[in-house]
Amino acid sequence: MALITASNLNFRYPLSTSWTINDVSLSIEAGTSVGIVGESGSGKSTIIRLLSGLLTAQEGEVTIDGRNLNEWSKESPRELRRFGQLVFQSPRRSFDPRMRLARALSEPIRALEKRIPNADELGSWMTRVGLSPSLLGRYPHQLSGGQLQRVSLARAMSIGPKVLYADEPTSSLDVSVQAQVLNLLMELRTDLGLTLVLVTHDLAVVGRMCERIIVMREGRVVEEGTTGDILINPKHEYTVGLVEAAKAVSLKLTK
Amino acid sequence: MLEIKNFRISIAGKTLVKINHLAAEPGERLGLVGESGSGKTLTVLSILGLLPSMMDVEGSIIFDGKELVGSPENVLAKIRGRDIAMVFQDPSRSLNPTMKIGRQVGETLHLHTDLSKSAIKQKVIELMKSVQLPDPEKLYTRYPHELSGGQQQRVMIAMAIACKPKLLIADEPTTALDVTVQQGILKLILQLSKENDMAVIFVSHNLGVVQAVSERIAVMNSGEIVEIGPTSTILDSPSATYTKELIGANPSIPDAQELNRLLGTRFPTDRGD
Repeated sequence: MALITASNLNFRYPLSTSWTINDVSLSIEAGTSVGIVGESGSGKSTIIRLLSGLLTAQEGEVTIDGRNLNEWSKESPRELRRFGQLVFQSPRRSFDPRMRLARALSEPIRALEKRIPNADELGSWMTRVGLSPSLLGRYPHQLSGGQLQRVSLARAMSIGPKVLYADEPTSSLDVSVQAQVLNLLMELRTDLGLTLVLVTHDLAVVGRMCERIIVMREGRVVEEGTTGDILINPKHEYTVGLVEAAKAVSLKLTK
Repeated sequence: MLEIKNFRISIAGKTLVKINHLAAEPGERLGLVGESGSGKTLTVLSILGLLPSMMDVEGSIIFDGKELVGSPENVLAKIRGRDIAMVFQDPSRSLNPTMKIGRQVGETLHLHTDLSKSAIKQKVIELMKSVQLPDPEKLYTRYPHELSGGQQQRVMIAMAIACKPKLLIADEPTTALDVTVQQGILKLILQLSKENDMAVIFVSHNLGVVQAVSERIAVMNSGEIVEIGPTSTILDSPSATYTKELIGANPSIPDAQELNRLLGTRFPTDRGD
């Protein structure tokens, strides 16, 4: 059974005259890694905010693990937060600049489990994402972007979510750091049996990280399929153009 | 045409960039690649004399037979925009939000030519056509926020090529743009370079993008050029360890064969689907 389903979602931001998400239906199987690709303004970030419950659609329904998202959100919001966590594009903007990392990392556990994690627990998360526990006493500005994104991943993982929604998690990082963070994400996904929903504009990243791809344009899903379907044999005219454009600027090596 | 020799940028005695030799021929497209902080942008800003005043510059940058390092501001101001032009990463921050597009494109022509107002307008519309902006007469009176990111970057390029510069410096010109728009801008830069025999220094962290436009590539790391050579040599048989690592870290779109391999290793879980 699909873990996440969306049926006929329509969503518009306040004051907007047009639908940002226009009649979107999709389903995501448990344990898979699914990439949502598209250009700026295609609605890919909005859709994961709708699926994770950060935004509520005006029309249509989202079900998570068989439960209606809106009802779940009203009945036990903590449990819902615990089920799905988000990681955002800019790690700098995802941390309170005045909060030491130990405190920032412990926030989800404090909020959702109502307990204060000890230094060993926090330290083990830092180690898990390849960082020294000694960094816990630092402030966000004292870490590099790649290090901070690792802490975001640790923070998201610390409460044991089933689904991780990652919104362009490596777009603000340097290419070598990007590779390290993506490898870490894959490792965590396999080890913890996560369902990964990855939003990105980068087809090379999605080609290496995801089994399935959903292509969005102007608030609609234009094509959906396995990574091979989309990257090798795209059907929809828009996908064909997108894949061609991405290949034109993708690194080509003869060996 | 451009030769940088024994060049050093430092701040409070600490060296940020050190280049023994880097040269570009007329009409040549040179890619400058490296990660953030490797000194790519500092290097190209120093060509235009745009470094912050707290930075010290030593050595020599010769452009068209003239020494740029230590040249007075009025000499550099004449070169900027006329002989050497620059396109930056984020067009929305590079355009003046309170000035209409037509006037902004015409500014360099006002500064560097004696053309009349009406002749400038004519020329601006031609320029806007040459960068393939739709309906130039209409866009002439629009403000930057009314244009898409790709259109704004085309406006930046129109401004840059207004005086037919000998050298165009493009610093991550497509990083802020969508991939389909990116391809259009790269094609445009390539075409303008070929038509006008304009040299281009193309700065980017994205090797795929640099490969699409450059004939030669210089790889920078920690303020130094670690390797320089023809694009195919650098990418297919790099000699510096850093270049190899950089290539390894650049993800390419997997082909069918690679996808099969990935499916076998990355997604081995048999869920029966």
